Amino acid sequence: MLRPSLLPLLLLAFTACSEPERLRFESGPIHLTAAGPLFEGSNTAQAEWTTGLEAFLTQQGHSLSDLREARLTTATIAGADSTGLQGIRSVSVQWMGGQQGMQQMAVRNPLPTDSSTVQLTVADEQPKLAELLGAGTLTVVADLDLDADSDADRHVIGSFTLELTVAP
Amino acid sequence: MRTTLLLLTLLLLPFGTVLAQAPPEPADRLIGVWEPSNGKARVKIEKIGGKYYGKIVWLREPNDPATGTPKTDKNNPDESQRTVPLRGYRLLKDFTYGGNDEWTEGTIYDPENGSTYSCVITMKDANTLDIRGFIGVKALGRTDVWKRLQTK
Repeated sequence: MLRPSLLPLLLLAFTACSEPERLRFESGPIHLTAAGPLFEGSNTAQAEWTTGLEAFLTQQGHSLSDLREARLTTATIAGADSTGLQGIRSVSVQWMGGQQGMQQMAVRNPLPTDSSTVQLTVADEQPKLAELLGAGTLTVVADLDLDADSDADRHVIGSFTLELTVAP
Repeated sequence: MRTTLLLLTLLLLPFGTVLAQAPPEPADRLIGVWEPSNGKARVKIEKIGGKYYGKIVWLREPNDPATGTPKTDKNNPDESQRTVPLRGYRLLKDFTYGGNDEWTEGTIYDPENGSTYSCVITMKDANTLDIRGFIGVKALGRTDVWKRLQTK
């Protein structure tokens, strides 16, 4: 039989052990392409992103089934060449994958002029992001609002940081 | 040898021409630029990752009369995303072809009130779509007729 004085200590230890763990997960650079000809206004740039999330969680001593919640915390778009983000008035980013529908993830409107890298405003509402990431491969879509027509393709680089909550 | 090659090319040429002119697969007939019945916008439907999406590419009134600046998604329930430009906004999302000229499993967003509805698209003919938005039961909804901008 447990001594009454040990009970609170054991409860505390149990609670501490079962606290969910928070992990930071970086996407690395994702190269998005809008295939020309492009027109003044919104043009769709996209890329397939194989997240590597399962391998990452395994490295951290977890499995994909431990993932309880995921939240995008930062989103950055950079120019992929010397033109930077010149001629792009705004950027809006969505993700889709698996059985999950397309989700609005981040926006920056307007873009500062002559910038080469911009931080986007991340969506407050990110429903079912953990399930979306569970798909393994996502389609990342960036709507580039261009100020002029262009025959050439346009390339930008997206980088994303996520906070993952995993079961102990 | 050269004569044989020439003959072979001539024989295969009509086949190649037929292939090049083959009609798009039934599901892809949805791709194009469409105009809702109110004529306030034009929507370009495209295919992304095997599903169909429609984004606004033209607005009759592109600027917000109150500010004089380009309209944004100011009624979005997520306040953080209210600066997303309305021109370029994807209001049709996640449609898949279900056969019988119907695209299902998608949603339609009404930027005028920030609401999202379930939606079914039915192609009445090559240049006409019935867009039915509903909540819960398809029977309880509203249908709008959209016309293809560049008629086939």
